[in-house]
Amino acid sequence: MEAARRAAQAPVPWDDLRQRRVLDRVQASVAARAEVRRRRRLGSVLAGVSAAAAAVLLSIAWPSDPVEEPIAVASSAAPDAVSVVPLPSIPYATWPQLRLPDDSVAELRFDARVDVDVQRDDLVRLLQHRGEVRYEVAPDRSRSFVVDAAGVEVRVVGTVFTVTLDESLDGRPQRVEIAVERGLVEVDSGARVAELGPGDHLSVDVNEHVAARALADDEPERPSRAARPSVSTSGSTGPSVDALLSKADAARASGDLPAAAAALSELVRRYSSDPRAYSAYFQLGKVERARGRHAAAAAAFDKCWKRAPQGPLAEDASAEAAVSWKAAGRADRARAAAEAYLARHRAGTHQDRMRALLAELP
Amino acid sequence: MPALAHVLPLTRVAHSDEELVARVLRGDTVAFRDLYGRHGRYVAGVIYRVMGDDAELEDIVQDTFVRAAERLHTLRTPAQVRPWLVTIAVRLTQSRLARRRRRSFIRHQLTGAVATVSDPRDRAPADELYSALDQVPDKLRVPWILHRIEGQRLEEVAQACGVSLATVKRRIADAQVRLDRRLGGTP
Repeated sequence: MEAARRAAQAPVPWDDLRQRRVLDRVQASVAARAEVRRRRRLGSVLAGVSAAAAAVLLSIAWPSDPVEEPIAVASSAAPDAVSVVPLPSIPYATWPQLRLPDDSVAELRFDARVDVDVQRDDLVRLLQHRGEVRYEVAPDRSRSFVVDAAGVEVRVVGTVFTVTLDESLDGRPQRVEIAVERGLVEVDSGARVAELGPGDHLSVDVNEHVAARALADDEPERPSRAARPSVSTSGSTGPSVDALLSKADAARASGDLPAAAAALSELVRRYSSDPRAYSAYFQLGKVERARGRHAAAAAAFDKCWKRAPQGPLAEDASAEAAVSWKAAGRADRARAAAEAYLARHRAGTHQDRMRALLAELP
Repeated sequence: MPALAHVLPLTRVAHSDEELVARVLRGDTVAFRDLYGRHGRYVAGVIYRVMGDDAELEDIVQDTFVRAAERLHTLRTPAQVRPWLVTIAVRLTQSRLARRRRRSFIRHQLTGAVATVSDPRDRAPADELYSALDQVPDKLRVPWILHRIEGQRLEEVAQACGVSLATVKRRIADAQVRLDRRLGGTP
């Protein structure tokens, strides 16, 4: 493994020629995209005014348009100098806009996608499927304005805010971020409700909130909600690893630690050879500690690091094992674990903690 | 007036990332080139490690900096422009990897275009590693490579992948176990 890792660290095939070539492509691409936006913006202006008025406006506005303002570079630059293209000043981009009948505007950034789910006098409901969208909601207390991003609801009266829906690698919703510029919004993740004001920012892990809702909430699912991660099963022999992990996560989120411990214990028992059992031992250790079952916690932490002594969790797990053995009143095991940690992780982050623990042992 | 682009390289002073970002936001293309010159090679390295080959390297670097140019005004901490660029690059790379997988294309690619090393005798271990990584889900593969190959700190990996530190640790651990099993290491 180490040989392979070193081999993979071979020099990157990136020379000055490639560096220069890509820079040229970047600048050309930025300029082309800016031009497209400029034309789109110009087109909308022309569509809104008469030809004569547009001509007058253009003659005035064109020279002072900051997007068109090139950097001061003399035309006598050497022929081989990197070509200079104008970079627009902020706000850089002009994004497609979805304008609603109530004068609210959704600005769709990058690959955002939004559908109008409900459009009534008393309710506007949008489904944001992906990407980043900036909403400027026209104030109107007689109607509710709701954005649903992967099941996370943002409810507003009149405000400006941005919702970003991050996807996982397989395209499933992963995280919803809400940033408020003006006004107030209420964010309902299913398990919790939060009110955000100007400058506030909230990030919601979709999987966590879905899992929490699944067990903690009897509320029936609304059909309009975005697809939720399904719990896969592995045949008729019992719950799968994914299902057990989801169950444990949901139980932890709702404070049901015995249920979380049961799910994790079942996982490591039924799927001991699965790679995820390694981290499940660590989770089990934390849950058992939270339950006050320190010996069980220590045993789980021990199994975690012994399973992969060079693994990323090994250092943390061996230190936590020592702490839990001490809390369980097993001074002998705690001493052995702490000394083993100090020997194995000479530059470890828990060195001081382990020394202090040893000093406190009888 | 002399040609600015021609003169600057001779008289250039070392600007901080914060200064460069501020100048780019004012529309300074020279500053943008400086920013690219400072971080482009590093970003290319990260992409190369994560992809495991050279096939789409230039395209992803290009997309990274185009997107960065368009979103630079959203960067909250200009001094952190490098990790921010890496975050963009990683996300774009992940998208490419996912696309490759969907097309069942990566296996064919890796047989002829795994990470190139200077000495062919050294190539076999890298081939073997990337073949094993091909069997690891991208969400585990990417943090593992960033941490174990690229040498990034766990906090940096978490930021680049857009997940928590705990999640990154868990994913790296899972990837390590899978790789150990495939490469004959001790899980």
